[in-house]
Amino acid sequence: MKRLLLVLVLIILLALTEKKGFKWIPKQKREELLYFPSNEFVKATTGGFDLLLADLLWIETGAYFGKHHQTDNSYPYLYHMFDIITDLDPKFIPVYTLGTLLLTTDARESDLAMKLLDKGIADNPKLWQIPFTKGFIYYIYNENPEKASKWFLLASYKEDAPEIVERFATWTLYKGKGVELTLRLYLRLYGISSSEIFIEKAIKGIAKVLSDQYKQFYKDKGFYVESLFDLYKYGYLPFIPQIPGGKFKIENGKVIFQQLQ
Amino acid sequence: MNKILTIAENTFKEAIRDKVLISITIIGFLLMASSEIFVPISIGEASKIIKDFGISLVEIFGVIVVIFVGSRIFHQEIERKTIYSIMSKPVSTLEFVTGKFLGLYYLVAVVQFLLFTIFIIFCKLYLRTMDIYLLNILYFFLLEFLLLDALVIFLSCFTSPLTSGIMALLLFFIAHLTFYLKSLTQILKVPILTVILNFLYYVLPNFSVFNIKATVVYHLPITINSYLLAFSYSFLYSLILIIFSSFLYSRKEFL
Repeated sequence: MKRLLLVLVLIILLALTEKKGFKWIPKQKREELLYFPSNEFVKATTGGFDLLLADLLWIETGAYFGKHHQTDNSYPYLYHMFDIITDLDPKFIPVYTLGTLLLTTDARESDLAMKLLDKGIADNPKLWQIPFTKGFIYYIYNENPEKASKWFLLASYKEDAPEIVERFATWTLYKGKGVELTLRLYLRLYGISSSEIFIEKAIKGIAKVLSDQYKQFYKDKGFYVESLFDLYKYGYLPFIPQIPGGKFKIENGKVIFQQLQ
Repeated sequence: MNKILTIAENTFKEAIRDKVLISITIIGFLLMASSEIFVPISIGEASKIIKDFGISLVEIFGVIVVIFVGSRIFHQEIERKTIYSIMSKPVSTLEFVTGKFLGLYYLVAVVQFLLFTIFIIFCKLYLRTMDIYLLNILYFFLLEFLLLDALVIFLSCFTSPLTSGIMALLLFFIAHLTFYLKSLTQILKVPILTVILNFLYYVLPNFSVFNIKATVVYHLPITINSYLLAFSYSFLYSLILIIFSSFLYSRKEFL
């Protein structure tokens, strides 16, 4: 009888704990898709190992991208993969930043890239990196400086946002800052992630700006400069971009990035 | 109390001699050591992936140990006929079941500390950093395994080792899904289903309470409520299960 009474008391205590305490468990988003074989369904079947599955899918996505990059350059499932990964792990920031870049430049799916960024902003409202990436995409690829400025400004309000992000918001609206801004944006992008793909994108972007200026100089003056310093000297470059572990240089009429041994 | 501790100590000693347990720990060690393979294929996210992988391994091997050892815990006593000598002594079923429960928990706690130490060492080796914040997860894992331990003990009281093992594994996964039952009630809006789903939501174990892996990996703040809820929930639920288990065990025929 004593045991029964004890069990009853314990059950009441447990019920109270559940009633009071379960409210403290963070709410899951997109619950309306629960019983469809959707991304949310994947989350419900992980048995609590959401992060591990997200990591494995991230590696799988890397392999998928690499395979198609070397063959047909077609990525029909790239967005879907990023979408699932971010459903499993909404705080996996490189999926939003690098993922958006790949969707824009390689998969040429700008709308989906923006959709992914919006999802990232909604899930991580305190981070500056995602609105910054949105501003970057608007400025560099969509050539929409007004919208870019708006997103840079939004990014600058976030906690831990580097001081330069606020300056980007103003520079984007100032046409004369075009080359300087693009170079600085790529340099900032370089610092966001340690991913090789990200670094490669940043280096290629900088090299393209330098190459464009090199050609512009020839168009204007009728002769080629011998070094990047000459471009800087003639006012065609606001500064010579520096990246750790290598340097940009002109070789055989082309701008290249030479890695230091 | 002394009787309970003696049973717990014997249970621990018997289980620690099990070769399967040593094999599980060695496999865990090797898998953690192999996590460096993620570095070149992680697309710049090696740190996060190694942490996620290590934490998941600590949890997976904890689950394996609880289920594998726990599901056979009573059966072995009957098989070796040691149950008769224990029951012939002035030991109540509640003391016996509690002793077994604590013995198994002691074992899981040791395995968890061991695997977690290995994980931290490999983190330091591969990532060159000592992430102290990760220690928080151990508190939640230990409470999660307290409840899982009680569940396995409860199931072992009335089923065969294989059945209780399978049921415990399924319950572990269901316990991570319990949270979605509440969402279903909000979507379906059918009164009778709402009652059933609400009932299941509160009766089935809810392991979301212990799932703070993302919080720890991303260094997000853990509220005091989370610590309190995990402790009280695990403790109360386990206590109820152990009392029920002793009821069930006292009705076994060999007594």
